[in-house]
Amino acid sequence: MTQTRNVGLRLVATILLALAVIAPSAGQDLQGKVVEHTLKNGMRFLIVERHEAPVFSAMVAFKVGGVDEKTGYTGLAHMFEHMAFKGTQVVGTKNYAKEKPILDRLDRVAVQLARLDAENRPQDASRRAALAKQMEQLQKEAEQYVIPNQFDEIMSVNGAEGLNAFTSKDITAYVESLPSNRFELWALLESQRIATPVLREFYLERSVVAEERLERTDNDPDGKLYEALVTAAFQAHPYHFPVIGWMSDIRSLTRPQAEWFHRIYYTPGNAVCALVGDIKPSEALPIIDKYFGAIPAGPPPPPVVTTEPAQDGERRVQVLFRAQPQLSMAYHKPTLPSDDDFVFDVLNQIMTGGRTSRLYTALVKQKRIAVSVDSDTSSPGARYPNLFEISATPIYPHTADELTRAIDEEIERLKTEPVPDRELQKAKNQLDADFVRGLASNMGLASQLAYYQLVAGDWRYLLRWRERVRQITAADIQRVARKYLVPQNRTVAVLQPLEASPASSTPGGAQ
Amino acid sequence: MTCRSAVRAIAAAFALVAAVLTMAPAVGATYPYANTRPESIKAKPLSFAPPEPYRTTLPNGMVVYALEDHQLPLVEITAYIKVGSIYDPADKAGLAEMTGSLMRTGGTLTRTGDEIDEQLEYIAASVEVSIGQEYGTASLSVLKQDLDQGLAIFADVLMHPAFREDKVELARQQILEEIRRRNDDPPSLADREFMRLVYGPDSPWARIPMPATIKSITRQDLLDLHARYFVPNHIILAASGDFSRADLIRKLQALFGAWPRQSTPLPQIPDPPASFRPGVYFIPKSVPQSVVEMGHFGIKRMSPDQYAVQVMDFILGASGFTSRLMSQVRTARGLAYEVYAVVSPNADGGLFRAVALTKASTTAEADRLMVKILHQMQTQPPTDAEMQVAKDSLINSFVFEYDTPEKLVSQRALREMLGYPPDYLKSYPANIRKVTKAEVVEAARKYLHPDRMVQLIVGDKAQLEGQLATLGSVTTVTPAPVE
Repeated sequence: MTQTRNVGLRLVATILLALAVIAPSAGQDLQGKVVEHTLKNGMRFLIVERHEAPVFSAMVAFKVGGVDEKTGYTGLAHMFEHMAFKGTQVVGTKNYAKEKPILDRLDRVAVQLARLDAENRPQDASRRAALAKQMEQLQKEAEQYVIPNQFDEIMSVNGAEGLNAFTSKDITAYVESLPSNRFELWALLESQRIATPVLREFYLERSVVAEERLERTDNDPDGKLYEALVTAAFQAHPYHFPVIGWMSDIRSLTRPQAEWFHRIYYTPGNAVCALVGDIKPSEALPIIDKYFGAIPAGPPPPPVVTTEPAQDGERRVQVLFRAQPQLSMAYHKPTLPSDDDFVFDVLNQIMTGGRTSRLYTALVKQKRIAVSVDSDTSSPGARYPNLFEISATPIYPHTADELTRAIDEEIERLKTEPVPDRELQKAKNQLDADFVRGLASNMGLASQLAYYQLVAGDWRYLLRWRERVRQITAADIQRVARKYLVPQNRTVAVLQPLEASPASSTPGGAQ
Repeated sequence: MTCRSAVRAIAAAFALVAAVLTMAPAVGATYPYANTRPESIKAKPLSFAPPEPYRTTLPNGMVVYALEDHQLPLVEITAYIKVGSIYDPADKAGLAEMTGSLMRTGGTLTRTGDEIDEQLEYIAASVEVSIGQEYGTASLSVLKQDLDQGLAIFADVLMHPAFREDKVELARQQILEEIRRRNDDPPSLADREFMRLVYGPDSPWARIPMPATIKSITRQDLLDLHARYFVPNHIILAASGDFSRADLIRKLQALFGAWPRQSTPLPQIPDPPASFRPGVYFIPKSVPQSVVEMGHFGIKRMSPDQYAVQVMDFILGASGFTSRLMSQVRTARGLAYEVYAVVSPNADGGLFRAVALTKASTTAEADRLMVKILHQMQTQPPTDAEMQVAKDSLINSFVFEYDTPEKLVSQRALREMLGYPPDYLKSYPANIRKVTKAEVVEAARKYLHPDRMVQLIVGDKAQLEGQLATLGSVTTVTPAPVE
């Protein structure tokens, strides 16, 4: 459903990495088929022609996400993503010249109010009420010039499918598929909202995002547990912050902050666009040059300087929630292009890839203490050192502790016994085939190209990755398991049922 | 709380960025297309005649759609089977679902479930079976090089499942645990209980597995269900991928040819109850965000009104951001992130539902606004712009229903299974184009009943009690038992 603007606080890395290998022929095919084009302003395009149907899929992705935030404005990358659908100086407005001064006045009031709200002093109460009223008044004034959701409407009437966007820890991406006769329209709409977005209806959208946080995190046991796990595992590095943002931050974001964020991070040099489908480069490139080439260049965004210190003891986190118990644990590990990261992808497959995987066999089929078990080698992102995460759902009356012990037994076995040849080969076969399947859809291919270009610096990482995965040995797996899968390097988060009491009020920030 | 104004955030949080900021050119100052209107770009006409999938019927009555696709070395096959949970006996609710899962995991006459797992996973293939309300699917995904082995297992699972006892017990435990957890997620709790309120909990269309019904299902029940419903003349198979068509048909005939046709009529499903008790219903659950779900019966799948209803539903709430519900509940008031309305037609009439998720304090406000928007669908005819947006969107995006060979054959097979005419896909754009404004209003009057709805709210009792009283007399509902 297109309303899920943010499809994935955590989806990107898991889905994309799950797809990340190539069958011999498919890989070689890809090598010759990707047309690369870099504009003078630094924006990079990757194009694959497929003419089976008169459609194309596009992903415009920026190397910016939750990891680029700080306390106080967590959620800003995701908030900007929502605002990118609010139009430009000609889309979404009846009269931008008249609208603009009102939006600017609104900002001044909002910034003052956000400050007073934060300071929360009793003597400011009446001032705050007055500012809130002023905001409401200005929002009404601005509203008369707004054409709501016009960007969506233009895309929709032109046949867009899967119009959406998502923000992860690492990247922010904008996606849609369109009939191929709409290519130039697409180029205008996308370049225009990158270059000259107008972040109208900003303060209303804060409420929408607050609802999104309630839905994805505060109402949802999986969301709660995941947030608790990641915030505990990362204490210094900004992977700590939830992509959706803390509720208090969401409520106090301002449009000037989002505009600042846009100037710093939405530069063409920080973007990659992948296009797959019924596109002829000879016809498409001049259009790309015309519209995207006209976006002014900007300096590279600031780096993330903080690194996570080595963990010096197991961390245990408990979440009380009105739901059945769940377990999630995570070990720190290096990210791509570290060689150990390749090894983890095979290890991951051996542990939870399918019904014959080790953890599924032990916990679900044999001991029968879990309904499901899953793992992820790139939690919560891949631009920086990340986590190998294992999560499992117990069957009543078995406990999270029993599951932890059973998982520990399998981890011990990885360290002490070399993985048999056939099992290793099976894991590699599965990774290979998953990758081929990931190439099947236009959007699947576009998103992999854009993702690896941004996060690994070169889409060809996909090809190298496959080569390396084929060479991984049982000894590699043993070594990596011994090095990283140790208790002092892990965080264990457990969700425990909280008994409902009749008069209980709800935690989590909805007021 | 760590809120800052924008200025302080920049200056205090990192001076480094503030420095960069002053050097950054004002993006947009020189972008020359800031004022270029999208409508100034005209699209060239698009003509697309999708390939016609080959259709044949094997001597035993199994229908096969096949379309070659040599882009990647993969083969995808989906079988659609006339079987469904609506045929479950009342005291065995969950039988069809359990049968589907165990056909795959419970082994066959010649292979254990674990052997099948190992054989498939070594070749990175998958076979899955699942049974829904009105039909089941069995799918195979396999690399071209392993097609024979994949097909052999696929056929074995379809024809000769053994439902071995140890796997039956494993599946039973799993389903019981899923039942225990089914109220953990507020939206799915609301969906399930809404359906039970409209149809009544004993309707085949609303019945859900209970711990007692799952415990009563025996291996023999599974064998009987399979024997009765899994017959070749009730199966339509859709195949696409890297194969030679003639070769594939030969293989299918060799594998399935000896499977005998059977004439077993499907059981009659009783009509849904003529009425239900409209009103405001409440399920207490201590979560910060409420689910508001309202609606009633929907429309039969083959109704001549289906196109007008689709356009109406698009304008009302099925279209994402261009819909009335989305623009008023989400965009204009910020009351929800997720809000939609959906008419889901099925053989008996299906359901109409409008749903929003909103924080506890705005629950009644959102509910009232949604009811108002439903009323307005009947009293305020769509504008010309709304009609245009709805029709253009439905027609121009229709190519994505069949833009890959896999979608093309699956669509055709499923539509045939559900009884659609063969030219349904071809005539769809014209049928949408024909819908008039008057027909949309007529559809809203005929198929929406904002005065006679089930309105179900799931949320925090302490915060909602006062609000709910303003919506009418409230009936508190106890959800179906989980243990």
